[in-house]
Order: sequence, then C-alpha cells, then structure tokens
Amino acid sequence: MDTHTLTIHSLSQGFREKKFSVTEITKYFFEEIQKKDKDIGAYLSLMNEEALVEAKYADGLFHENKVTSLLTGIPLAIKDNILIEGIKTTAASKILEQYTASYDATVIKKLKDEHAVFLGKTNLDEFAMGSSTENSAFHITKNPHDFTRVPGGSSGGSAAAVSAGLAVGALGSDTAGSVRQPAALCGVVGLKPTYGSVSRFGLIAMASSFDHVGPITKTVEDAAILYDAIKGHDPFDATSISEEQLSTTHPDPHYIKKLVIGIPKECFEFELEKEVKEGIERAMEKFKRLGFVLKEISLPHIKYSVPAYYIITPAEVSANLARFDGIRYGNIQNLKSVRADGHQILNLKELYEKNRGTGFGSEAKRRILLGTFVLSAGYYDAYYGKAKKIQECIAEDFDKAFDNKTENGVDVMFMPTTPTRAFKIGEKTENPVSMYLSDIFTVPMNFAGVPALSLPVERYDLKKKELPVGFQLVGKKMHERDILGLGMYYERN
Amino acid sequence: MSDKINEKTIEHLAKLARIELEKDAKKNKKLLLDLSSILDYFENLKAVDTAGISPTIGSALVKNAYREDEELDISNLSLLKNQFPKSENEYLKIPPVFE
Repeated sequence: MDTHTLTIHSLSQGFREKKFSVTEITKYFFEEIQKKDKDIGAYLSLMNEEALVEAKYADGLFHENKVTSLLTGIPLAIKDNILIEGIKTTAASKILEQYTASYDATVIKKLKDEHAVFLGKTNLDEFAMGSSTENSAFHITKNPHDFTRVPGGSSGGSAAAVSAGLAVGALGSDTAGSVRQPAALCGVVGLKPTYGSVSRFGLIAMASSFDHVGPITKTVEDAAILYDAIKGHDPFDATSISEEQLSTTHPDPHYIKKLVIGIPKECFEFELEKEVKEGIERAMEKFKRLGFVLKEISLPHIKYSVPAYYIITPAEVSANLARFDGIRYGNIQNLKSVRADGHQILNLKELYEKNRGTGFGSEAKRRILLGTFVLSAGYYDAYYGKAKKIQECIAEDFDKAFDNKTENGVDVMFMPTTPTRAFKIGEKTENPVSMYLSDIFTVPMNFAGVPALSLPVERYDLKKKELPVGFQLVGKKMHERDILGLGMYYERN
Repeated sequence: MSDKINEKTIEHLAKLARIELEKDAKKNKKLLLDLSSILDYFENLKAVDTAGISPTIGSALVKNAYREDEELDISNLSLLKNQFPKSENEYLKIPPVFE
C-alpha cells in the first residue's frame, strides 16, 4: 500500500468495503512513521496506545454497520499546540516540556465524536512563532521533497506528515499563514477558515485576534471534510460565530462556474522566485482554460501587512505568554536555583525570571520584549495604534474588492501563497525580517478575517524531488464553499 | 541602526516582562541588533496616511458574547493540580512573594 495516495475519502471507502480494518491501517501508519520519520522529524510524540484503542472501537462500528462519518478510523496528526486530554502538549517550547493537557480542545472533542484516530502530536515553531519550524525547542523538521530544506511553518510538522504519507490529514494553526505556507512548501492543501468559524478553545493562544485552527490534507475535498467536522459555534470561544452564520461547504458546480476571480495586481509587484511565477501563471492559465473570468483588482495596503503584523502580534504575544511562569503548567527540568549573577533565587519574581529566561527560545523572547516595547507608555500611538489603523485599511481593501454591488467586485481572489519555494535550512534564521517576509501573501487574510485556501499548482510526486508551488483562493467571510468548491473544480479538471 | 533602543532599554523591558537575560554579551548584542532592525522596518508604516481611520477592534463577526456565570464541573482537576511542582495539604506551594 502507498500511504501517499490515501485520502480520507478513499480510505473511508476501503473501511466500508472491508478491504482492510482500521487497526491494520493504524499499525501500518505507525510502521511508516517508524521507518521514515527519523529523516523528517514531523512528530514530537506518538500516541500508539490511544490510537490502537480508538482503532479497535472504530472497527467495531464498521463491523456493526454503525458508521455515519467519513472520518471514522482516519489516521490524523495534531499540531502540538492543540490540547488532547491526558497527552503531553508542549507547543515545542521548553517551558511546557512537562505539561500534560487536562482537557480536550473543542476541535479535538469534535473529531473524537467522529471516532477519528490520532497518531501523534506534530512539530512546530515554538508557540507557533515562525515560518520554518526551525524555532522548535526540540528538533527541526525537514521538507519531505528535499531534506536540506525547511517544510515551512509554523505547522511544519503537520504539513510534512501529510506530505510524506505519515498521516492522512492533520490540524494546524494559522496566525499569519502557518497552515497555508507550510502546505504550499510541502505540496499539500491547507485551509484558514473564516475568523470565528472554528473554535480556538484548547489552542494555546499566540495572537488571539489572528489565531485560527485549520486542516492540512492531500486534497481540497479532504480539507472540506475536516473543516465540516471542526467548524461550529462554541460558547467557550467568545469570538465564535453562530451556527446560522456558518456556510455549507458543498456547492453545486453550476454555482462554482459563475464565480468571478480577482487577481490583486500588487502580488506581482513583489519579487517572486522564477519557478513560483511560472507555477502561478500555469494555474491562472488553467482557470482561463476552464472558462473562468479573471479580473485585475487592487489591494493597495497589503504591502504594509507584514510590518503591521509584527507590531500587533508581539503586543498580543507579550500578554498571552505572561501566563507561562514555569510553575502552573509543569516545571522545567534540571533548572538551577540560582540567578545568572550567581545569587540564590529567593522569591517568586526571581523564579519567574529564571523560568521564563530559560524556558523561552529566542523568537519567543524577541516577540515578548518587542510587544512590551510597542505597548509601553509614549510608544503606543506610534506603533500599536498605527498598526491597528493599517489593519483597518487592509480589511477595507478586501471589502471593496469583494463588493458585488460595484462593477469591479469579485467573488474570489487568486494569489500566490509564498514568494519562494521551500528555502534551505538555516538560510533565514539569522535575519528575522527576511523570515517574516515569507508571510507577505498570507498575513493580509488574518487581518481581514476572510477564509483562504492554499493548494498545489499540480500534483508533486515525492520521488521526483521537485519543489512544490502553491496558490491561494481567498473568499468572502463565511464563503468557504466558494473557495473549497473552486479548489475542488481545479484539482479535478 | 535604530536609536530607539539600547542595552538599557532591553534590560528595562526584560525586567517588565519577567525574563532573565543571558550572561552571554554576544547573544545580548544580537538581541539588540535584531530588535533594532525590526523597529527600523516598522518605519515603512509612516508612509501610510491613516488620518481619519479608526483602528480595527478585531475582525470578529460577533459584538459581545454573554453567558451566565455558572459553576462548571471540572472532572479532571487532579490532572491540572498534579502538574504543579510543589504542594502541601491540598495547597499549591510557591516561593514567597516578598522575601
């Protein structure tokens, strides 16, 4: 069996037709992980025991013909900043290396209700801060298409696991592109849903006003299946939208064919790697060939999204990460009880300083200090206030472009996902600003709260060692059906 | 390099954020350089005219989310409490707040 070609759809059909059992498939995936993950490093921890218990239960359901969900028995990987009760959850940070989650995230509860099988927790940049998974406190993850390159980030472990056939689907989190960018760099599909459509309860918060949970899969159809399972109102997430506002995901093809696609001209004013440009042009040609109308549009403020993001996010990070004191969520191992100057730690404040100084990695510290700076008296208006106004300008750009009442209004936007293909390990670690610019095409949608899907230009065979190129389809708020429907149409034709 | 911050500012910020800085002078120099280059990068934003624009209050589609303040059952409280490094007779133990 080839685990690369298995999709949620094909695997579920196999279970129904009794071609194989869930237990057999689960064991097979663990064998594959055993064989291949030492080279890739997609997982931080495995859930062998729990997975086999769930697999046995799912087999019982299939045996009694009681299965109603496509996700029953499907092997999934979960990013290690999403809580699963009783399972270690580290956010790839030393400060949480001893933490065991005491409850399930809402998305996990929903997937457990469908009897999906969790294989393990995947690697990420510490607290989801980064674009290469090199900021993990534990190990780096490599791109399955080329082991000398990064898988992208911060959901690099989830994207690499799906791409390498070490899970059929995965969950990631996306604050600036952390689902879509690694999906593009690994040649798989990633969806950032509408802000508020998927609960973040049980996701370790980084920048709450931009954080989203989203699926990473091999096909757009699988992304739609996972999105359908995890979306929904949740009273435990105050930004969660009501059930009535949520959209359906499976539109009819007649509706899809009428969608007008906008191409923001600003995307082509940035320097794109040659192969990315060619891939993007091939995808645009394909849409034209399929009979779609492509219109040039303008998003004049998107070039300011990255600097504005790196003001607002650190501000939120400095507040969200204040709870990590090295006491409440497990302590740090082998910590010396002396300060850097050699003095014995005497009080709580000194212990906090020691724990946080030792437990956080450099990017986390950089963002906490930067956030503390931009929020400090005298600088608030110049930085945070200004950045929040720019966020408004960007959101207005999207509103205008999506306004169907005007002549130039479009239904969906087409954009590159990243300016380059997967870059070399170590290439950008020394220069934070160059790393931040990897998110240039993905940040604006977190500002506007609109849904965005990244999908590969074509199918990329791992054996060919070709580096994947991805593109994005961006929809109006709660119009996941438009981008998922259009994406499915693209991959089937 | 940005003149907005220097070693003193970083020490002050670290104190506010309860982070002990490393003893390694080279690493701290790099931290200062990184933060300075990021602050310089923010200068790009000055080019945008934001007069008359009100800041985004969040892209959420909900305005307020109210609920009754009810007591919830936590079935696995022990899992939460056991992570605490020290405890004594049902109390969680930390070093003194004041010496």
